[in-house]
Amino acid sequence: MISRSLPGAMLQRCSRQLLRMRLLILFSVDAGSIVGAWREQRAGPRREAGAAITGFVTRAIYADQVPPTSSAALLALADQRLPSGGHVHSGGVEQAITEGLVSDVPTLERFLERRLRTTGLVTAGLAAAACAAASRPDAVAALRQLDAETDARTPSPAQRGASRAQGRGLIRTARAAWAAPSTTLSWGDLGARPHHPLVLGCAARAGLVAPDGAALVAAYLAVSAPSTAAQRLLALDPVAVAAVTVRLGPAIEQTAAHAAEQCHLYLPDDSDPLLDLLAERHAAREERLFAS
Amino acid sequence: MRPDLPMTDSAAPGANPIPRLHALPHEITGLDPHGHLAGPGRLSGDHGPLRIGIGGPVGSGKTALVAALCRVLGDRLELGVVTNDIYTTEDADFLRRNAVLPNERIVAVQTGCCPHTAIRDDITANLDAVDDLIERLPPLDLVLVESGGDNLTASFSKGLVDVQIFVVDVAGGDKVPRKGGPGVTGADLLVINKTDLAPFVGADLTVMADDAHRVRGTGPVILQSLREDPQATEVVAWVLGHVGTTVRQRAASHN
Repeated sequence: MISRSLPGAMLQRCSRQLLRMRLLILFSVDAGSIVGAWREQRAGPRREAGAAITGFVTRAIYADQVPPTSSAALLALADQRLPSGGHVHSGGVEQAITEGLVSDVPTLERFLERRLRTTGLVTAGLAAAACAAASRPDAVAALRQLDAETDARTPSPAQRGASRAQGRGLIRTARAAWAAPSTTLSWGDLGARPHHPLVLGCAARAGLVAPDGAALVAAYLAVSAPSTAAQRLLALDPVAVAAVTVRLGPAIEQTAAHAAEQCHLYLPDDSDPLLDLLAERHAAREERLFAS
Repeated sequence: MRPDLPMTDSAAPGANPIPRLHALPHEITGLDPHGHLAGPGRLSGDHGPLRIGIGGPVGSGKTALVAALCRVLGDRLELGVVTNDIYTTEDADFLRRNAVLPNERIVAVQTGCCPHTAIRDDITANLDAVDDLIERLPPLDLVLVESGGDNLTASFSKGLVDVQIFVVDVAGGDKVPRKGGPGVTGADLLVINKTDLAPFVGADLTVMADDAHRVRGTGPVILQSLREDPQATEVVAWVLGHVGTTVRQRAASHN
């Protein structure tokens, strides 16, 4: 595989100096996983360790062919047409409309910004953390831990259900699109009904999107999905709703950057009691158009 | 796509100049990339249930047809139903109220204001409902997915159902088959319902049947009135023709 993928012409194109620098950087990034892989090879199954080393070699080979973050994969993940069941979830907007909290474009904008700064921040942090964890040697255990962290940050059972329903939908699409999130993690390791931000992070990793990209997608979806629901329910002017999403752009980027920056240190846990209550009231309703 | 460049098969080794990091799921031996697509013939695999989509405009009699199928086939086949009504439970409640099927065999999904999206563009909610039924009630022979009432352009994704029935009704006007649309022209079976109403609404059944055959070519068309034939005899025969030999024998031995 190496001899086929590493053409001589490619090596000749870049100077020795550049290549040495690139490998140095890659090695420093991957030193932990290589050591881990080596330890595993001594102690445990050879195959996994081999996979981790292959992953390292593959990344080194493609370092100058593929950009560090694949923008096309990022766009695909942020596209609401990506089939993951998101269109049947309103993110609390249907109940907010029923309660009279959202009735027009200005109230929708306030609702969306609040949702972004709370739920959006939390899901962005989780997506970034999952993306970073997906390629670690202990990815399986790390993702299991993140699943528990997600539960702990989602007090409303209805919201937990909605998150797992969308995760189940996204993993179906991700499974068809990418063979595995990384060499140390398979889609099956996430279970049948993983939380949506975790699948999003793993899909981002599979598509070579960096953790900050995963956070950006999560923060963007926290705004765009409910705004579409509101547009449908209130028959709002789609041009005005699109303008709201654009106006919230800097806030989305800020939220995502904040979440991604610290995803190695701590996970945001800003809960919003209003959204929790709306989700619970919505789940108890007889007549509703959206699942959440 | 630049017309002056040759098209290459991206799966052929050496044919694709774009560097690829991973093998595509389809190229990995023994790995089924679809999850829900488990066999060569059907979506649910050779031993899984047949999935039939039932779509059509509002009020054309989809739920009445599903109820008839449940009544006739409910004790002969292992049956499950997924409904996509506008307000979630209306159709499901109708089926439960009429005691056509036990509660646990009927699942209602929300479509987020967009019934055709839920059966064609993003079928996730319906796939989950079908998977849940299959998981909960093995072994199922048949799953009916009833769409919410929509317009003539609605049709089911091939990723959700194996075959689909499109239901229109005489009271909707005898020009409906002529108008065509993906449902009327492309469905595996077109049912023209409520033929008993034809004299009252001034609809010409011959015109409807002729138009339907013209736009559908060799595709089957059934004209029926559930009031005159509550057993939906012809549709039941068509459905049994699709569910597979083993299941058909089991259903026949029940009689």
